[in-house]
Amino acid sequence: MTETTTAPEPVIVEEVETRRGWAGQNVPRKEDKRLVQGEGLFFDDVKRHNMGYVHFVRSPYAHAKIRSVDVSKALEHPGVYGTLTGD
Amino acid sequence: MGSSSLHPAVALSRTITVEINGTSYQREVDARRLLIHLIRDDLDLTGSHVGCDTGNCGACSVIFDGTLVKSCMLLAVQADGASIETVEGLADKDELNPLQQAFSDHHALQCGYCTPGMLMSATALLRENSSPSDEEISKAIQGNICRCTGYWNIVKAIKSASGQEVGE
Repeated sequence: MTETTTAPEPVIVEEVETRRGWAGQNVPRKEDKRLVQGEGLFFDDVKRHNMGYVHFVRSPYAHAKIRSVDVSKALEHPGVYGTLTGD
Repeated sequence: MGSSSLHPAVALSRTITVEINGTSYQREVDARRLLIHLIRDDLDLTGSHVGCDTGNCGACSVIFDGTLVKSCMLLAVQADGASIETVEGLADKDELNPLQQAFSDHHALQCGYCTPGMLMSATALLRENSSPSDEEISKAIQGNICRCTGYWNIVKAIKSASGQEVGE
């Protein structure tokens, strides 16, 4: 014989006011103003006193062995801060 | 291939007078100097950007004597006597003009690199066509490449700035 049981009392959850959250909202960005004014700071916009500029000297040969690199003329040139070779 | 002596740089330069955003500048420039470098490096107007070095991206776009041009495709000496508008001249010091505001409102920019060029193209368009269709706007910004937004918000922003309704 099966026992009959009564359904448990339903649990009533009180409805509380939900707070209007950010999900789904259109949130304005903070950086837009200066970007549309052209006042964004991108790397090439940075200027410093006595700034140096790197110039790459590339091989004039498509396929060759580098035996040596002679930087003496470059170092003599006024305004050259220095050179960097693979040595 | 024998060694060749370094040729001394032949410096051909000229003094030019350019008006930019209403201010007149007189500078001595190398004949080979590009206009974009005069604007960015000599005059500190870094709003216009260099994006490609090949005349494709339009990040350097400015309005030159009323015409939209890519300033990387012009020499500074060609601007002698010209009147140029850049992004910095679109609005007064800390304000945004309706077009700039529309870009912000419609999320028409992310990294902001193409934005000055887009704004200048849009400005040139709206002067010529005050109520452009989506197609006309798309055509007007053909010379401007954007890697971030997918263009649609830019088209909506420009359309909205022209006073037209924009859909989704």
